[in-house]
Amino acid sequence: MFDIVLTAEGLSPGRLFGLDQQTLLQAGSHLLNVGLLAIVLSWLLYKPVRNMMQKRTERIRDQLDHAADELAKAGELKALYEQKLRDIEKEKDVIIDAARKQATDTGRRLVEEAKEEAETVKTRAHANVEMEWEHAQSGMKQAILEVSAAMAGKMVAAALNKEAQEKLFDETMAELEGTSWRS
Amino acid sequence: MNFDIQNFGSIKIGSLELWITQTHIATWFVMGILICFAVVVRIKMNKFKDVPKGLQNVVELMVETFNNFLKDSAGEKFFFLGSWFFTVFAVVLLSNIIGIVPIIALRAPTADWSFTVTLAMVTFLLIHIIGVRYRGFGYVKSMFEPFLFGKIPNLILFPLNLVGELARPISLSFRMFGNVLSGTILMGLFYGMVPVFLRFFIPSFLHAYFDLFSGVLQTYVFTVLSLSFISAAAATEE
Repeated sequence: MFDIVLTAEGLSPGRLFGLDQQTLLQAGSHLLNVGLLAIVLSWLLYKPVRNMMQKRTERIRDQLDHAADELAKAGELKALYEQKLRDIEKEKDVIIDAARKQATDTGRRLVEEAKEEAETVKTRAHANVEMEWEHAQSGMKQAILEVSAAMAGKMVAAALNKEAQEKLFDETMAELEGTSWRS
Repeated sequence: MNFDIQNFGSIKIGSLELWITQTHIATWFVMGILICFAVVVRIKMNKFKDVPKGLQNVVELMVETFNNFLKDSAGEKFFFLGSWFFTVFAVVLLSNIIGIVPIIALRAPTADWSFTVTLAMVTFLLIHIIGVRYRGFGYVKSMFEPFLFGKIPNLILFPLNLVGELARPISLSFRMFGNVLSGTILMGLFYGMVPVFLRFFIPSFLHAYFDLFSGVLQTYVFTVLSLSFISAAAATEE
């Protein structure tokens, strides 16, 4: 049966060092104190803080991993978009080349058509000129005939004989034709 | 001038009498400070954020520094000892530097051999428990090393190895006890010998060395040696 009594009577004098039963009892009491403190500090301070820090570290690591994954995905998307842009550039070049070729063909065709039309117009103009020339020639002939007739009338009036009249007429016509055609 | 550890009372447990000494009072004071701090931290912990500041910064710095220290000294496999050695580190550090506040006039608990030998004996027990747990019979056989012809246990060396093992807690406890006690005695002599007007300013340097520098150093040495012994006991021959 243990009897615990707290007393201050008949206290032993203090000491600096000892190797006896009292030292063992003191050591036991210190072990109890520090052990109790270890339990309390572990429960209140060390383990909760350590666990909190570990959880935070894991959470941040997860976030970093997630960010790295997202970065990798973004990189893949970027590469994909860049590939698409390159494809679009190629497609653009193809379209531009086709358009340029088409424009060139169209231009060439239009020029050909214009040339043909110009040729047609030219041919028609030549025909018109020919026709005008014939018209003018026949008008001139008519005028010469009228002049000749007038001259003949006058010569007849001057009493020329028939031979002289025809000779005169032919010479006049020949001279007229020669000068007209040369001009 | 008396440097004895004073008794303030005693507790009788049957026929045994346990003295309540200055060391107990100082230890309870240190325990009180640490428990109050732990309670405050536990209450404030719900408001801790991802980016620490203020008290959270201090607490995280303490725990993280100690964990790194534990990892460097013994390795990650001894994290389960973290709670005990965190407490030992905190209580020894605070005990060593408690003399820096002369108004409190408390004698450092670590200036009592019964206190230091208690911690050293726990280390001693941990060394052998962990040695047997990790190495089994190989640890017991290591008491007979080096083997004769490489494989026969050397019985003659067993007493020497045993003395070497027993010397560890004794050296651990006396190293810290002697250092802290010498500081206590020197500071006591200084305060007792110099006139009152010299008790200001000059003691700051003495306290900085004997209490702060020596206190922190002894705490570090005690914890590092304890963890190193434990780590060495668990180390298998590879």
